[in-house]
Amino acid sequence: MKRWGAILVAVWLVFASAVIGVRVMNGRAFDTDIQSLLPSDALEPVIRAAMRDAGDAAARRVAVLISADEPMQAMDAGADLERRLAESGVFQADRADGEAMGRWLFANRNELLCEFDPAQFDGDAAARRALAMIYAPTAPISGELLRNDPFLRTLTLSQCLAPAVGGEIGDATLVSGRLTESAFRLDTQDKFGAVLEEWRAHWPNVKVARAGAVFHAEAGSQQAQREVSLIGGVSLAAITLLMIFCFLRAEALAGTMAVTAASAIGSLGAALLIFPTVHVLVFVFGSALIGITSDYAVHYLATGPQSKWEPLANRVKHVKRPLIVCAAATSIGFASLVFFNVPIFTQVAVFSVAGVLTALAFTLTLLPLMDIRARNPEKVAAWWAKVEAPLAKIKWTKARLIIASVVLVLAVIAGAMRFSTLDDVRQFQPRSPVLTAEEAEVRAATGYGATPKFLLSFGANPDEARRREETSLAALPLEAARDVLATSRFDPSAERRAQNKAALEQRLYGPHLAAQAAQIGIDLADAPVTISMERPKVIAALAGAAGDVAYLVAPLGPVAENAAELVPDATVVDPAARYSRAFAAYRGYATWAFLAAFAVCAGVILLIYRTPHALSILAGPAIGVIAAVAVPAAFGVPVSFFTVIALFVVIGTGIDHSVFQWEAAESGGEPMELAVFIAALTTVLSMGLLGLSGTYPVRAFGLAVAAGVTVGYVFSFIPARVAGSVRHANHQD
Amino acid sequence: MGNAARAAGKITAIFALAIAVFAGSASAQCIDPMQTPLQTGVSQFTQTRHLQGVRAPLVSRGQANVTRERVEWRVSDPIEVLTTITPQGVTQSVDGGAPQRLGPQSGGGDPFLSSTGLFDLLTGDFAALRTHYDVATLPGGGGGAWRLAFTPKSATLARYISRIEVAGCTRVAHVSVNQANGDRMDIDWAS
Repeated sequence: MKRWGAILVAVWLVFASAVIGVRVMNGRAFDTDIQSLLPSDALEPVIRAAMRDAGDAAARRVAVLISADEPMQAMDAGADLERRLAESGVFQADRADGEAMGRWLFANRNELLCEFDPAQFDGDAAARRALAMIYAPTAPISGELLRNDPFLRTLTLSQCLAPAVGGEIGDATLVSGRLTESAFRLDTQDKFGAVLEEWRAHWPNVKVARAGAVFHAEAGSQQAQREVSLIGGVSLAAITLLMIFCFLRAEALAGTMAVTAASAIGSLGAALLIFPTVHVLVFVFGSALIGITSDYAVHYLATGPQSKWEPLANRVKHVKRPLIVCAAATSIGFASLVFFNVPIFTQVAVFSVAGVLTALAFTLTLLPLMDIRARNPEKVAAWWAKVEAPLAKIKWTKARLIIASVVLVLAVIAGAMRFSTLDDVRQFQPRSPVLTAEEAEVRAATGYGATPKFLLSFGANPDEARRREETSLAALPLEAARDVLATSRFDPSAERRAQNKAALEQRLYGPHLAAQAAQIGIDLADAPVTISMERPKVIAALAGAAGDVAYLVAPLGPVAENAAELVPDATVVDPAARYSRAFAAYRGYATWAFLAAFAVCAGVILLIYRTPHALSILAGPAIGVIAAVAVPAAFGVPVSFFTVIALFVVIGTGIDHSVFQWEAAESGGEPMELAVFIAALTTVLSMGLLGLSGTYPVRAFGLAVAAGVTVGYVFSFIPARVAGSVRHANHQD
Repeated sequence: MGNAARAAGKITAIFALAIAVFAGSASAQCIDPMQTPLQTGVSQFTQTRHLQGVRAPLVSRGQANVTRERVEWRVSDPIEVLTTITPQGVTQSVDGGAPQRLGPQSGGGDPFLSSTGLFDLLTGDFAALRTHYDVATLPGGGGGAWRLAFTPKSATLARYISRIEVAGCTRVAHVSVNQANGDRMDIDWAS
């Protein structure tokens, strides 16, 4: 039976690996969209799609302000950078789109107006302004332009509609444009960064100020890589030393890693088998599994030196029951997440249950086959006993218990006094002070002041969306309306196009065209110019569709952002605020899910041990949970969704430790102090060290795990005492 | 059509440049234009635009007033237009109406104005002219009269302007701006 069990586990791992391989190869296995985190009913599909479009369009913007002692050097350096970036294929300069905008305005010049209301169009003034441009030394006119556009509508529209594009700002040069791929793709960051670095080496004397999400993303990636190298390196080294110190053999480390790897393969394979895509944040929960499932390996491996390498069947028997209890409690706890109607929770449930059960099966079947008898078992066993002895000697005297309780109560009071929550996504990732200063420099030079907010207009078709946007703009004060980058200003609704055309015909072309042609001495062009339907990218990027709904996104400037919210029926979207509200709601969902999981664990333990005394198993994890919330809060770290996620690790590992202590005390078997100590310490080292991260979500998670697992471990003596008392009472009976 | 707003700024700056450097009062002998500090004051001009496809040149007349803070280019015939160039940008007023800003609407100043060296020129910094243009001396008229040719160093600027020629003796008498598309604009200063 055991052989078949090992074969079945091996087959499952091969199958899961194949599933992972196939799904990863098709490139759509993982979901990185932050919106997928949100409960399925948190946002309307059109708002969801618009936020994605607006976020993508904003994140792709890049601006580099170049200055030098000699303005010409800055200009040449700017031209060189623009050329290099264009050749790299990751960047398209605004200059190119500016020309596309010019063509679009020329093609649509007789259906567009600067005025928001066609009734406000003054044909006489337009004719005089055209003459002013012709006779003043300012307009870049040509004979061909005059023959096709005698009132210089193209130039007029470019003055009042077109957004600013890259150019020379003061003595500096601005290179601006958009990335051709997402700013959050590592290959995009690498390509862009390499070009910029090479260019800077070529122009060592120019000063650069950068603005754009790609620079922050690159800085974030570099910070993450540094943290992974530092924290991961320290963590791995410490765990390696700990395992070798305690077990005196590298095989113990290999066995632990094998169980962890098997758990990862099983969890990911099951998730990819069931879901079309798996969100990357599921791996945050996945890291929690490392702390839990590595304990299974430690507990089995500890039976070697504890039993002086009894036959495999005996060793398995020692740990089988407590491991099954741990795995059942943890699995059922995670499985309860499916009842919260949050897509990512469902993924986490499948991911975790599969991971826990795979680790359990691997530990009970394949790991014993891997864990060969030590060459010098007596020496290893003696060493194990020697290391465990000091831990076994620790007694929970009343004095110690009072001191620990007082410290805990003080931590809770301090945590309560400094308790705060953090759901604002803008504060999750630390911003580089260097980049922030450079962005301020770019803003000051360009006068650029767009906010992340946007006006959302939607309808059954694009034309209806345009009409709604026009209605909202008309309701705004003029100054605010001008502060909106609205697609309908460049590409109006059919109704508005007709109104604009009529206004131009009736008030400009009709009364003034013949006189204008005579005045400037031109023969009007005979052939009408074909209207280009190729929209400039700057406006094409602001339109989209979600299902049957067409929508327009209109970024708001600082003047417009507050005014737009006052317009009846206008939908103003503040993505950061919406994400923050969603994270706050998510924190609530996760808290309820955690409480439900805890309650389910209590039920499972009662069911298995059939005595209320067994609930003492939950004492350590419960106190650990209190510490996980209170201790970081006492140090000023706010509680967030990520803190709540850490609580799952605290109860998962805490139950493991307490179950083994309970089982050991109840059966009067081998002491488990060292195995539990190693299990707790490896969890703190693997996840608690994340508390050193500079990124808030990672830090909050790590600190909560470190505090919770440590305190949970300290109080894991409670079930041992209770079990010991029960056993003593039973003996007396 | 290109980026019309941007090109408008360039043309404006070129003219402002020519006005700022060369408009000045008369004196008895021909001067060295490259050694002469900025001269401010009021001068009458005639502007003639030669555009391909247009039957006759477009002629306008008026006066330019150059100070250290601004250039006011006032056309009085055939239409009343006041174009004002300052470090903050270019505005235009038609028939005495409210001035309207030309070029980028987003603030931050007209990006092209200072990069042409206009503000350095307004304060008499002739080195700035050499920074942005290659300057060549052309065969002049008799009696010490001179002719200079300014060619843009920047390829970007060269897309719009191929060459500026300036001629004079004690002050600028004639400016000719040759555009890259073959059009030309002449400015003659009243003696």
